[in-house]
Amino acid sequence: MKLIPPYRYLRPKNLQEAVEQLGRYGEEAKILAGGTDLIPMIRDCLITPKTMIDISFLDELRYIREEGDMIKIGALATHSEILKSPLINGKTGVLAKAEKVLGATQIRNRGTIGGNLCNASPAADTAPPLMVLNAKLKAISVEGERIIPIEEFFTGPRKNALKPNEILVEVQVSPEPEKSGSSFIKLGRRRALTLSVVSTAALIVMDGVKCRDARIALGAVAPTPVRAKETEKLLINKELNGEVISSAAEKVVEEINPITDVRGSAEYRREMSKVLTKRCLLEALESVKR
Amino acid sequence: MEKEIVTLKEKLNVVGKPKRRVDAKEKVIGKALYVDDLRFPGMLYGKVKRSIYPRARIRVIDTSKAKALKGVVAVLTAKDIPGKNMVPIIVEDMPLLAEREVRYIGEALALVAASSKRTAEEALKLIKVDYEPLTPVTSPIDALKNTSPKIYGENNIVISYKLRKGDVESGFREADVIIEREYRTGYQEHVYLEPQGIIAVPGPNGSMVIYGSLQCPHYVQKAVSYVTGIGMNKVRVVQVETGGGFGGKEDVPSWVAGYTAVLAYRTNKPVKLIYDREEDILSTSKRHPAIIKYRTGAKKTGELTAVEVKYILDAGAYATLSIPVLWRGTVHAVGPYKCPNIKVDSLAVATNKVPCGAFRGFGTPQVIFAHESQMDLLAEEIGMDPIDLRLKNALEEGDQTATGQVLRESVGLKETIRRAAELSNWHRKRREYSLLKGVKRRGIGISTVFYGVSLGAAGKHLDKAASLVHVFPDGSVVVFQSLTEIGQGQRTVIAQIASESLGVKFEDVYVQQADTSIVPDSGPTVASRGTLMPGMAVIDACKRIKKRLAAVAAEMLNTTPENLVFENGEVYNVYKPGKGMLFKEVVKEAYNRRVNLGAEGWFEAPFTSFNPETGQGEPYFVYSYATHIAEVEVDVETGKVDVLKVTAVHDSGKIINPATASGQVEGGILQGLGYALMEELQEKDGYILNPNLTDYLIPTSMDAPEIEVSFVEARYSKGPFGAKGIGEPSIMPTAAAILNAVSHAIGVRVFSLPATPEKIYWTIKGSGRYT
Amino acid sequence: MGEIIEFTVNGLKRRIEVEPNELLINVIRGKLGLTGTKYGCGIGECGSCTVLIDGEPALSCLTLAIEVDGREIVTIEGIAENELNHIQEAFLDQGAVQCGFCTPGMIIMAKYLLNKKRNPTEKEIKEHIKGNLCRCTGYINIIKAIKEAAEKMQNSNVKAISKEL
Repeated sequence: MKLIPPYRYLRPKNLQEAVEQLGRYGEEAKILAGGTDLIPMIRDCLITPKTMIDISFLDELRYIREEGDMIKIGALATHSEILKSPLINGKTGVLAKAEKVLGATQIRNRGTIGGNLCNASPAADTAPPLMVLNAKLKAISVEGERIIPIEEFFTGPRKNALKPNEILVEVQVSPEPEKSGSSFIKLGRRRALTLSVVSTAALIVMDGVKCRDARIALGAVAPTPVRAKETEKLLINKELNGEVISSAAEKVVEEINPITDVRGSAEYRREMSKVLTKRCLLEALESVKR
Repeated sequence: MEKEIVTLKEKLNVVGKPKRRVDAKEKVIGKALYVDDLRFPGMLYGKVKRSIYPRARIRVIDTSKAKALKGVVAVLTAKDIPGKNMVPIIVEDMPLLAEREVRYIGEALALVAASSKRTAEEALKLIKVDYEPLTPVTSPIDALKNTSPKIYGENNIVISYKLRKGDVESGFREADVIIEREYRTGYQEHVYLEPQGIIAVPGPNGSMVIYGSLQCPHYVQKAVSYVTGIGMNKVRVVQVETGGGFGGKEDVPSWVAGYTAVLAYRTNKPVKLIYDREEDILSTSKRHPAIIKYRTGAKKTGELTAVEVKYILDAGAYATLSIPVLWRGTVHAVGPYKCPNIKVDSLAVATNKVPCGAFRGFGTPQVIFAHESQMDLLAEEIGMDPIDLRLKNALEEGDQTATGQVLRESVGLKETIRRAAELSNWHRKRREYSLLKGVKRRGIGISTVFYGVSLGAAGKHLDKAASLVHVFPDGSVVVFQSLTEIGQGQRTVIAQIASESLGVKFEDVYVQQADTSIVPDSGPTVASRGTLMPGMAVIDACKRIKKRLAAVAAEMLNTTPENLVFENGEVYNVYKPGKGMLFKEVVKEAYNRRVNLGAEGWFEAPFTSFNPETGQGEPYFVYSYATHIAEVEVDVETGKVDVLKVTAVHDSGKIINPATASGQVEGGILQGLGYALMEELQEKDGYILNPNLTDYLIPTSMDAPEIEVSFVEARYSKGPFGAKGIGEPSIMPTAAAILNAVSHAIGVRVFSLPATPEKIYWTIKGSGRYT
Repeated sequence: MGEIIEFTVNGLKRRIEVEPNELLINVIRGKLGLTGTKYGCGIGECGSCTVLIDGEPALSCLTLAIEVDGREIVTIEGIAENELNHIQEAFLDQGAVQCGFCTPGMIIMAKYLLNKKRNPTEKEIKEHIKGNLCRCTGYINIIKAIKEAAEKMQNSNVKAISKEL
């Protein structure tokens, strides 16, 4: 089997030390959290960090808690922990739904939410749900801390907005509002353990029969996960029914920019974006607690 | 003798029972030793430097920097090969290491042995190859054009066959309906869970022992002898626990062992070479992509009048096993049907891609997809139920196959069709599913096949098997035979056959793993021959021993040998049951009398023939039959298919072990499901784009449908207890049955494999049915 | 360069030197000689290398050895000591083993599942082993075996309890 090239290995005792180490080594360093994405990339020499800062022992970054009107998820919370969390299941169902179809138990046990986001795959399963939850990402560096709205976090395939000296430490989301409904749908090429051809998350907030707010995000259809704001506009303040949703979902193709790769063609992804957006909105509407 | 057979048939104690596998306990406790689990003192680690171009001239291979690296013991190129630089498969066209030209991405150029894996990997990077890239030929259609560069022989054709029966033109004139279509199928990668691996250990007097994950120890023995120049008498090949084969460890281990043996020879140290998964996918054989042009003529009443097939395989850069793969595909091109007028032309064409080889089904799943799609199209055209159409044309005893062979016995085909229809509730579901509307549509589809067991006329010179059986003074038995356990349950089935034949307890038989130094060349472990061929050789040896024991026992029991029954560890007079002796008491007495209780067994395959001009003859001595019925649900908005259930009915003759046989069928079905729907190795200009398990998808537990297996046991008089073969028929009908079910569900047909969601989606969209 | 780590493997305390870029699978198979854990793909797609880390299944091909400092590892060799446990028996009974290469990972997954859930449904079993590829069996008998093991374990629990009463 292929072996991993050598590197300088650092294991900070606390977050402060990690921040200092990253401040020192910056560009040449990589943060190791769960390793489920990072280790295969290093093994295949797609990246060759000179320094590895292993933060996997920093339990201070492993939490899921409610603070005021915010749910705060530590960057090292694993997918399994998030999936099991009553808080996440009760208040941000759309994220729980995505976590449920992410990988298998072994991957969920190691992979972290911070790692999933920082890896910045256009197909990252947690990105669309966090986008419809308007998540804010907290980053820390020697210069201080910074909040990055998730929409600004992804800057390209495998690229994120963190500066070389910044560590992502926390994901903050607001609970799904009252009278809202949400859903997440992933289309892959087999029933499990497959990277998305297209994924969609939707959240709608209702006011009687009218839609007060609608948020739609898609994965694997552009260089980054994307929000479909123009499509959302076609729903807001409308009475929602199958017809309105179907015709709005057609709009989504104008907001994406898919490529052809081994998982599917750009044309198919466009078609599926419409289908999945429609289905996702219908499921979201169905799940609104009346 | 007659009486003995009757007795055995009536009272089988071990054969036909779902005995626990003899190799399973070691596997569940993690103690089973696979090749990468073995270590030898002073062992080095091997690595292979491979081509990064599909076609290029090699100007220079500079190994100096690699050789200078600390820990590197040897860096070898073609000129360092002590024997012939040639891997002997069927024809000699493939060098062990490319010398002047590379012909596919992944072709071996140089070998490294080092004291650690890491050093070996580092050394690979230091080998500098100066290439002069040449224009590659990557499609068989291009390769056949006059303008194509000649990359293989004079015309890029590796091999071609023809089959002629009757007069197809008059057959088509007689037809009321003619269906003509073209089908395409893609690569299928084996994904045996254990990658390829070999350890070569140099021994005294210039000898060499090879331990490996492999199907065909005698092939490996020959290859190692070839490339090292060591006499075959000093090359010993021991198969160790093997983590799956499916055809992928038929020919490939010959060159993996070739690399390892050359390194071991030059370093005089044990060398271990284990492939990475990516290396394995890039450089080892796969199921051939195919193009099949198919024309079927039939009467309105359903009788076939003519079949014309053009079958083209994409062979890749070297012949390896394309020659027998294409031959089998040609012989099976018409399916298990009666048809008086047949014309089949087949070609295997060279391209600058990884050589294709053996994969369960061996050239048949491609043509089965075509002939079973044709049958459904025909049924639709003439308004007949697909089951009825198949029953109308299905072969029975006394019928003639496409090669003019009259089937004299053991033809359970029609019963497989009838039983599958009944078990699956075909008629009700076919009707009900047709009425479904909405986004989720359901369909049910059938596919039926025949399969010539063992190597047939093309491989008849290899088609024999040997065994060696010893009975020890404590009454226990050891069986040596030379076919391999690769997961299918071969050792268990052989233990059952030996136990039944000698009348000893199953637990008292131990079957050794294959070792070329013990048992004469028994041919390869392929072609579903692992039960029939060695089974007969084991019966032969057991009979010899039993005859000697019977002489002793007859005296002891005061009767004649023909009155004796050997059963379950006891020996008794058939007329005085309950007053016998223990088998081991007879053995003990035989030892006292210096009776030889070791015997060699031998079996030669029954007659086969094949006329190369007409394709007529008796290509195989017996056939297995199978029918699969698949039920699917298709999401017509996304093209996604869920396979709900597969009903599989197999005639493989007498089933020696129903548990392992069902296991074969279930596993075959899931591989067939992958072939049908998701397994897609994507290639562009000779580059494989997805050489990993992230993007080459095989079915997971979530993709497994409900499976119902049933056996029709039409016994074969020349097989062990009436057995034929099961391994390959297990996968053969599945993909075609699933595709027929998809077509039933959506009302349109997909003409290429795999039918990915995207392909199905565009097919639906193109039909205009679901706008 | 190496660092000393201390961890428990199958109940035994181990103290060994590892390189920071060394994967857990190589330490288990190489340095500890526990070859029951299998290497199938190296990128976390096949599940053959599954072990328990602090009771939770994890892929030893994606885990650095240095990360298990202070933790508890269970490999296939640690599942049953002398006699086979219910899961292993059930794998034999149901013909859930063919080539055997996926078997250690499957058994580890089964043990974890049955530790936390006494009577899983077929759907739960399928869901639970979806990260463990098998190319031989079609999964059918593996699923049956895990079910049988669950039943046997329940029965033996019932027996143990009724004995106590």
